[in-house]
Amino acid sequence: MSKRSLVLIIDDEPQIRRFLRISLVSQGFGVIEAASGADGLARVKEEGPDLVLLDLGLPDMDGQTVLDALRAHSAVPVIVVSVREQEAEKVRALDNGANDYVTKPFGIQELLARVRSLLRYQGQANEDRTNLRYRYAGLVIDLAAHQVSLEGETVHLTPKEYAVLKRLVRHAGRVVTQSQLLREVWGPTHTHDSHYLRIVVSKLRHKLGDDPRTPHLLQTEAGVGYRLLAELDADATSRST
Amino acid sequence: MNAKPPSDSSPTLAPAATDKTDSAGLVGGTRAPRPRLLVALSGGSEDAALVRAAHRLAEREGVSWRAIHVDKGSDDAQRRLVLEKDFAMVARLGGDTVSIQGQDRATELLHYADEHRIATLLVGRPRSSGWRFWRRTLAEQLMRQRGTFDLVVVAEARKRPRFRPRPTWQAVRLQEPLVAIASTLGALGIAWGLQAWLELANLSLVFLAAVLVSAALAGTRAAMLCAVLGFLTFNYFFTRPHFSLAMVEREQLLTVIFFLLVAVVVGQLAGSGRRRLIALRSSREQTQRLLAYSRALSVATDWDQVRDTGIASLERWLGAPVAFLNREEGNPGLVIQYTEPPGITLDAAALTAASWSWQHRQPSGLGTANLADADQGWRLLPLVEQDRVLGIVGLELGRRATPLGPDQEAMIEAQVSQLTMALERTRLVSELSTARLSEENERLRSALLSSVSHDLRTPLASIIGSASSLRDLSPQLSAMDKDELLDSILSESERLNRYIQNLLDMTRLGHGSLKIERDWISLDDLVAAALRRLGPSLDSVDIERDWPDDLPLLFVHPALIEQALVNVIDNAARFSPAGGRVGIQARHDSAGGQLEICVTDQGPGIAPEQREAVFDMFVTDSEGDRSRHGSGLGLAICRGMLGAHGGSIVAQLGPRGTGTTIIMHLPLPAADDGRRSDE
Repeated sequence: MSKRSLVLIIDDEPQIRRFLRISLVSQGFGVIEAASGADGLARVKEEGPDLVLLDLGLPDMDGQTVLDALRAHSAVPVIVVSVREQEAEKVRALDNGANDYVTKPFGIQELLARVRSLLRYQGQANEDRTNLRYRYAGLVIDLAAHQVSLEGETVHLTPKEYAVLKRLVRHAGRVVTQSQLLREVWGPTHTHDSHYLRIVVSKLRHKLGDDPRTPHLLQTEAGVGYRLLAELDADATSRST
Repeated sequence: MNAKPPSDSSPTLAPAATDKTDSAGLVGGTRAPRPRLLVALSGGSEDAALVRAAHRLAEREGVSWRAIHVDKGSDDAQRRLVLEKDFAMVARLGGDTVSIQGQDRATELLHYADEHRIATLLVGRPRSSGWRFWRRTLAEQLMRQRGTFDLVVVAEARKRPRFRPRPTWQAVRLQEPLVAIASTLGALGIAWGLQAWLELANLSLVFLAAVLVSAALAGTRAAMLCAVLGFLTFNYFFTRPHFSLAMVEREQLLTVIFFLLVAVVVGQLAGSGRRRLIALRSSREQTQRLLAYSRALSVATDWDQVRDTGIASLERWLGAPVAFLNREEGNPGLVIQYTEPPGITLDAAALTAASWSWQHRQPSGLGTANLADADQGWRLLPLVEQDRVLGIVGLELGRRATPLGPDQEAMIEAQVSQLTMALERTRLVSELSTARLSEENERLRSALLSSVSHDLRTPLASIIGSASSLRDLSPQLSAMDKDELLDSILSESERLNRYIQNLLDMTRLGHGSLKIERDWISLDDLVAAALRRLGPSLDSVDIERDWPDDLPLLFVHPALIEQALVNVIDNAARFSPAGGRVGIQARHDSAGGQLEICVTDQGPGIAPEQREAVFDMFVTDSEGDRSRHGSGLGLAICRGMLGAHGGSIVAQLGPRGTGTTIIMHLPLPAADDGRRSDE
């Protein structure tokens, strides 16, 4: 890593900020803190962090509002960290431009994994992500060559299955919301036809050798969307660790 | 935009729209609520059976049905009441009703059925028409005319004594012969005086006038009597030979016979005119009474009021005691809920009949077909609404001097059915409001749950986060980091404990089981204890205490007031910026006999419209976990605890226009009590 990644924590609970700061610093991140939404937005402008951890329950304004304001002028990756566990809140945050969502309380490893995944993704953001190569165990997905193979054998996918898979690969490691997938693959009039997506995902799991009962590769975020396990091409992953 | 050309759908619509010409009515089924089954009601005893039969048939065929009544303008009050009841029953069973005007039932029915393309017509078969054997029944008339429908004739149920109208032949009243004789004598006097000037035929007109007078004053029977008397008198006094009933002249004989004929016909007509007038008047009276009754019931708002109004009004009208019986929770039998006049009791036989009526949903007791023993003085009428008995109305008819007439019987039925409907209305209303109340409770409960879960999770998030950092990242953490994380875990655990304490207090406050055990204590001790309990969570702020040394002692439950102070100071500290100042001031308000405690912070402050809401137990949805002033239950608990001591708590803008000041007032004990405690 050429420079330390800078993480901004926007949370009004001093105790939460404290353990996040200690943990992130110990992992080699730089940390700045803000206790209110307004302060957080100012810090983003001034210091240009590489990643933002955002609490939704802030004293001065709602986290969703902060997210809106932030997205108006910045593309910095945002992980929402909140006690709000309803799917509707998660979907709203993700649709508002959050890149991921972690529900409080959480173990530190879970958060660090999400942080790493997002920063890695950010590292590739400048490259052409349409031509990614995704590799996991015997599975290779080559977006440039338009090819998917499992243990050396070509996997035949329908156009819809490929379209869904392509979007998941591009956002590997992060949640892609159901409505986003439906909108982009089936069209804006089908954002509520989630059964289409269920069928395609179950076919994909079958074809890609994922266990449908305990899916590992293609995880379901109940009521929110889907997440493809973040193990990118060796070239890509080696840079951030 | 529309892919389908509009012409696609129009051809299919066309035949449906013009099928009026299609007399077979085969496509009638494609249009929804057109009745296919018509039932003709007459206001007679057979109607109930007819309505039930129509309902059964319509159910079986899955068609809609309609009840029709041909109004000839000659129905008496009793028939009207029966019809009203019939129509109500039809509506209850899901049919609709129509009333048409006309003179001949068969013709009108045929016309209506054709026009509305009715498939089946139900008519009743009245019991034998008796002496009027030459009259054809409605069914016979309809069969003779060609209709396009099936005709179903329904027999009257065999045993329905209650609904059988009593014969209209009433006892002869003394008034009738008196009027007849008086008017005949009057006519004799006038005719005697005029006989010098008038011919015999014209003299008979005088007697005819007497018949009319009798009919108008006393009805048909008086008129008939008057006609016969007139005939005899006329014959005796005026025809030759005079003073004899014998007649010699054929011309006179004809005059007398014509007189008798005309007198009988005119008397009949005039009598029936009078009868109609009387029927109309009594029908109007009954209608008005029913209207007044239903108005009184509709004004009553709740079940008890409707019941009491209905029973009282029945009693006034009936002139006999009326009782209302119902089931009550925890009581196996029926309970007399209300009586008019008050304090009436029912004997064992009446109570048995009441239970029977409840079970069988049928009237019983005096004047009914059920349990009408000789010594039974009560009639019990169940109020039935859709298979549910709302109660039993008991009428002590045995106390009445005169038995009920048919009009009165019908009136009782009408009033009872109105009472039933009114009670059902209030029952539905109260059910609705109960449902609304429980929905409101449900909403509050879920708001409380979400706020509590937020309050419990926030410290848990710090604890779990810190603990997992300690375990997972241990090699990379410095000793100082580890200490800090451990501190975090400890202080957040204490915070969690405070929340739980608050929750428990809140529940106890809510149940009213929090007992105030007062003791003398100084403010210094209370504040010191509160600060000690808050411990490290106050590290980031400066606490400034400011009050005079000679503050009077408080006479309060120390633990509760300490908890209130903990909550207020904790709130102030959490909303203060790092290094901010939290001020605690107190002063003795001797005029008001109370102690004023102010806690100020330099936090973001509370919007004016929120300053009262922060003391609410629940957070509104729009606020969510943001308004932590309110979500913590803490301030709500403070208000509860101060309230329990007769004190108060309000939120205000802080000094110099920033932050928040929480002002608490605690009443001090009366002056001499305070002094004694100092000794």
